[in-house]
Amino acid sequence: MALAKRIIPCLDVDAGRVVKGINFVNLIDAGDPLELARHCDREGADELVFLDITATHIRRDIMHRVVHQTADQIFIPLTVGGGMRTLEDMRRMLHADADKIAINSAAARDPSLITRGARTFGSQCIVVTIDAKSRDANTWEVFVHGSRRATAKDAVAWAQEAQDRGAGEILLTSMDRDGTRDGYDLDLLQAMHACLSIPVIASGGAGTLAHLRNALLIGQADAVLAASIFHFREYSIGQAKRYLQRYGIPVRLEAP
Amino acid sequence: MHELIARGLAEPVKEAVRRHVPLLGICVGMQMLFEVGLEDGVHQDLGLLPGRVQRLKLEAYPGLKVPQIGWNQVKPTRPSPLFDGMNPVFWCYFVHSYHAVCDRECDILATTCHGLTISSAVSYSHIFGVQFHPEKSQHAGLRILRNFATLSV
Repeated sequence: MALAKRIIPCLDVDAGRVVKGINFVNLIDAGDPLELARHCDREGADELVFLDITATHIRRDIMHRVVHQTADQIFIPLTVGGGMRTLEDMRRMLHADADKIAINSAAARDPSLITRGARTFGSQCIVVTIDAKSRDANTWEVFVHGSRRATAKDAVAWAQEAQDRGAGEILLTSMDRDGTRDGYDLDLLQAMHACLSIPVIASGGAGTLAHLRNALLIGQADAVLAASIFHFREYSIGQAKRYLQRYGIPVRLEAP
Repeated sequence: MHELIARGLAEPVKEAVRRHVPLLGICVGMQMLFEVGLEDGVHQDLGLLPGRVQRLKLEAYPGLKVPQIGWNQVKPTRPSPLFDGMNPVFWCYFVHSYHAVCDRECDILATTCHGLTISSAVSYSHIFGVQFHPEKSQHAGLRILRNFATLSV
């Protein structure tokens, strides 16, 4: 047996409410992050990601409360991303009991944030999120600020720099595929795999279980981030894992 | 380890061990139980167990990543109260780039395969260490923590 490939649900949280998350059956309150996190945990999610899409800084406290309540009851790793710009922002989120911090725009603007974050809190806490858009054959450009602003950075080179600066993982979203349900960008995943020694979490484009399988087998991703594939109640996390296992992919499956 | 010494905690930990208080080291906490660490240069650890801590060297295993991040299977190699009531093999959550190498094979309590077979749990007398994170390992992890908590002082 070997290290399991991970299935990681992602919940978008705005002012303490899940706005684009997983539409599970039988939930008392589908907008309650804690309720959704509990459900993911029961279903066999390997980790959880909360993406804080709250625009204003003042409301960050709400996210701290959500994270703290969740970590108090859910005993799988919890990554929190969105809007963190400084070491102090990261420290406060870790003190709220997040296990990992995902940084994106702030890291692209000031790459030393990765170095300082890794040195202060350890590489295991630092997930660098990269939103990549296809340019020419086998080149991708990094976009920031909710994928609205181009940076002229090459995505693969940026991922390598993030790794060298101490990032523990790369959370890689294909902007071309995000929301399409046409499958992950396998060329992008392969290009990253060829250049990185740290784990890559694939994101953007999952529509079927075969897409998850391809990202893990062909794209060689270490984990798949998925929201919408579970959103329409087509598949449960357990179903996805049993499917992957049939293709020889190591997954964590066990009765509690 | 620097932090432990700087905060004046290394001696109290050793003193508690001398008084036979059960000790559980988690992740880096397990690594600190050994004599010598090789992370960022050579440094002295608590020296409660003979052995050293070294970087995961996986050059011979293409495709495997360092750090090891995620769920892997833990296989106990001998009975222990720490694993009371648990399955013969169980999943736990790992995040690490270094691993402990025991000098005494009898200190190894469980192994896990990530290319290499690493010591994922160790124990000697009332001293325990786990390389994984029981606090992030759902049911199995909580069971281990409960088992540890019920060890008599």
